[in-house]
Amino acid sequence: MQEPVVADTKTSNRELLDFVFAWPAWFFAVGGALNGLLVAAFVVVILMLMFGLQFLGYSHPVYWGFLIVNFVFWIGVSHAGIMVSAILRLTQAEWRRPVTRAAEVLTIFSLLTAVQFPLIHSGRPWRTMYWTFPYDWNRGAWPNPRSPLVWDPSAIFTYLTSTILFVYVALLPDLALARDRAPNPVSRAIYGVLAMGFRGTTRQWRIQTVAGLLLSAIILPIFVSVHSIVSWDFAVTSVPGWHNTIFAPYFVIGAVHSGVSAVVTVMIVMRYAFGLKRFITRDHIDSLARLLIVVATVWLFFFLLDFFFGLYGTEPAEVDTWQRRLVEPPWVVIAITFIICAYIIPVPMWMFRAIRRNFFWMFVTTILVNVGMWLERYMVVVPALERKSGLTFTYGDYAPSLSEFILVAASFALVILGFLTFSKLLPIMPAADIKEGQILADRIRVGRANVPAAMRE
Amino acid sequence: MIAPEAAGLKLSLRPPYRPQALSISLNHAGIALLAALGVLGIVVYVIKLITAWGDRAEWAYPTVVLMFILSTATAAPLIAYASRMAKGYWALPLRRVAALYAVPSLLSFVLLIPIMASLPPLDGRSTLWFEFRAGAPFLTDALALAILLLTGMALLWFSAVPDLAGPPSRVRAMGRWQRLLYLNWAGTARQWKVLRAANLALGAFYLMGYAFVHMLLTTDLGQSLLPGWRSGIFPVYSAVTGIQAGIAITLLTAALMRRFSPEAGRFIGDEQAAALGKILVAATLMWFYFFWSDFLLIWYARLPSEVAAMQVTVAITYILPFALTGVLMFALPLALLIFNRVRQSLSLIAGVSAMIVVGLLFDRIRFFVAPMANPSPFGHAMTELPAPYWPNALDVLFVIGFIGLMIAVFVYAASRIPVLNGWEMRQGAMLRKERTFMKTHVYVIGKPD
Repeated sequence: MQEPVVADTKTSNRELLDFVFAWPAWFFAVGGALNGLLVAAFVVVILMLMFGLQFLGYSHPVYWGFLIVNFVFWIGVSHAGIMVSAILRLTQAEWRRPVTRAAEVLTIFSLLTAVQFPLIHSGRPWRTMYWTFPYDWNRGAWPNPRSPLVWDPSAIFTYLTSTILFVYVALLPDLALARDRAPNPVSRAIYGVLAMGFRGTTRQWRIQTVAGLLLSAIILPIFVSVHSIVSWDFAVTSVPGWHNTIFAPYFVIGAVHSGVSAVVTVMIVMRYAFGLKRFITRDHIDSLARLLIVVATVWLFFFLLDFFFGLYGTEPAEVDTWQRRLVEPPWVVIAITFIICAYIIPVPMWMFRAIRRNFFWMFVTTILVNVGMWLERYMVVVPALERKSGLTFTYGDYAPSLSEFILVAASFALVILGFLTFSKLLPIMPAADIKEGQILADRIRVGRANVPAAMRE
Repeated sequence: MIAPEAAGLKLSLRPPYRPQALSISLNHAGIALLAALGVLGIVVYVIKLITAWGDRAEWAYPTVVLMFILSTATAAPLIAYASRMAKGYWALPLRRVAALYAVPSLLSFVLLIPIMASLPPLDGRSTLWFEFRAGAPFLTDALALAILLLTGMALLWFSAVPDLAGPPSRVRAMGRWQRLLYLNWAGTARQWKVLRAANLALGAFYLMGYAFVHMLLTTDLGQSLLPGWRSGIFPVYSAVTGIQAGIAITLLTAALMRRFSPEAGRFIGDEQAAALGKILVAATLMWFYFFWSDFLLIWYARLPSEVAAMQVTVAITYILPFALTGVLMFALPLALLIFNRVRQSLSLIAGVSAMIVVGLLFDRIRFFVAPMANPSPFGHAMTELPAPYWPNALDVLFVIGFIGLMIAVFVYAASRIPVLNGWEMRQGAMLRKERTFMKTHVYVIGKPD
């Protein structure tokens, strides 16, 4: 149990809204640099539209490269918000309070970034509308509901919509707070409209709380379905190395692993960048690290199941794919790096309380996890396609191009910029939730110890 | 929050509350019936040993019972561990009840030996052991299961020692070996620290062992005997549905404890039902998720060898057990558990739990009878679907008798070891207080680091 935040209401309000109403110089510098990367990516996409997918270096038989890897990676990161927020809210974990908003916002911007990649990858983004809408109403040519290309957008947009709703409902009291504290009439008016007349009446609080809980429960199945469906993009095919029934839970738990790690990284950055040292404490990072130990170990188990059951049938094509992934260069280097980064270094380190409570080491290890998880997706996607199959007569080697590196870098820029912009416009810490935690905080005396406690109605 | 039972909040600390073991008597009709079933289980087991040693099909239904025990009794102690790890005080009166299931779990080892002896050689069929032959699968599986069961016993014993040891003077008066068995328990600060750490470490090990054993046995007694069945998700399905049934059997036991044990009945109530009910809903949804993840891929890819295996376990050969599983483990429980009234009432949720436990039995039938009774386990694809293998009279007696024996062993263990975890409940009473906040009653819950 964590020590509650010790600050009076006035100080909490001021510190939590500080960044919303201030304009630090670094905000413009960082924003400018990130925008620069986005402009570069925009140029790459325009060139790709002009010259086709070959501009990105794709050729037979590997058409799924960095773009699809990045799509899977960002969908994965997006799972952080719901994992941390919905589950911890339902289980009434007190330490969740300062963590939830950042995790949810990370979900929104990761999802928005992820959906860019299948569009770019299609080569002709405008044609993707035919994945979900009829080609021609009069001809009666309907989208194929059996295709993962229909499942994907349906799942992702349902998830995006529900996450936005989830964030918005939780945001209402804070929007009202921002309205009441806004320094000028324009922002007061904007926050006023967004707050939808929230005045903090008993009825409004009750509705807001019930809506939050209901959305938490409803969003959980959606959260599981999204990455499962992404995994089925691969697994429903008969491509050796992809067709394994464990793929859905394996992808989901991998997503949670990378997502929660990303939340820890973001929390640590926020602590220093936004001056939130009072609200993001070692206890929060410690609790998230404990959660990560469990998640990472389950993920490793699922990875081993994928490996063992890939080889289980001793089918030559499957064995060949796994051999390529784990034995042949350059994949062997990637395989070793990914397993070291995603598990072997971080998890043993997290076993030590001193590491779990150290911001620097937690920052380093969670970054390592996401490096590892990105490489893992790369290892899942590309080597399976590189394998020569019986009826393929032209083969090209896949090597990522500079354009793809730019697009990957730009995806990080887009998520960071989105997060930063949100923090600038709206409270990134759930002020109402934190203050509720302060009210519910109590202590119990046991012998000479004074144990932190929380009230439950 | 559902109010905890008042007795749990007002537990006597001075003198410290010491729980008692269950008091049983053969004069009680239920106990006599259990004893009779237990004897029946032993007799039928001996008959099988004598008449059917090495005959794989004859051990098909005992395999179902083995997997049933592994998915109920062996899964139940995980509740004790998980709630301890998550500091869930609602589970305090249930931790010992759940941990006690480690004792009837030992029966799974007794079943494993003749079942493994009936398996065909590994050569010529798909196996997780690939080229490894040093004792696999017999020794390896037996070793893995033995380690898991011993860990479960250690978990039970370590958490029971403070209740069983009594005052330090009693332990000091014991003989050397008995003192060692009681860990020289004197209740020093260091001993408490070690005990807590050991409970957590053993719990984590038990969880990993549970998943590992399910991986081995679902493959060696299932997939590898039905050519073409290759499903990476099946071990996880088996483990997760086992946890679902583990929760169900714990709730069922809790309801019976409240009814028949006056002491446990004071502490066990609707609070436990409400908390475990939420997890049961999640586990019930997971049944569908794991089933669907398995089914969809095979249906979509249409690889003949995989489709044939799916036809055996789902669509054609064992469609009846599958339908019963779907109804009893998913459809009906979900339809009932979405109502707060059902989830928050121990009696009602016990009914749902009974459904899930019965559903699990049918689930294990569809998955393990077909492979064990399959006459041609070699190769990588089935040439024709095997005929269904329905139980004969001896099989039915075996299933009833051995499950009865499992319950009888549990009841016997509960009559030797206190069914409540006294020290943890005392700790819980210190850390949970009822207070008035503004105009309402609240519970203050302390959680030390």
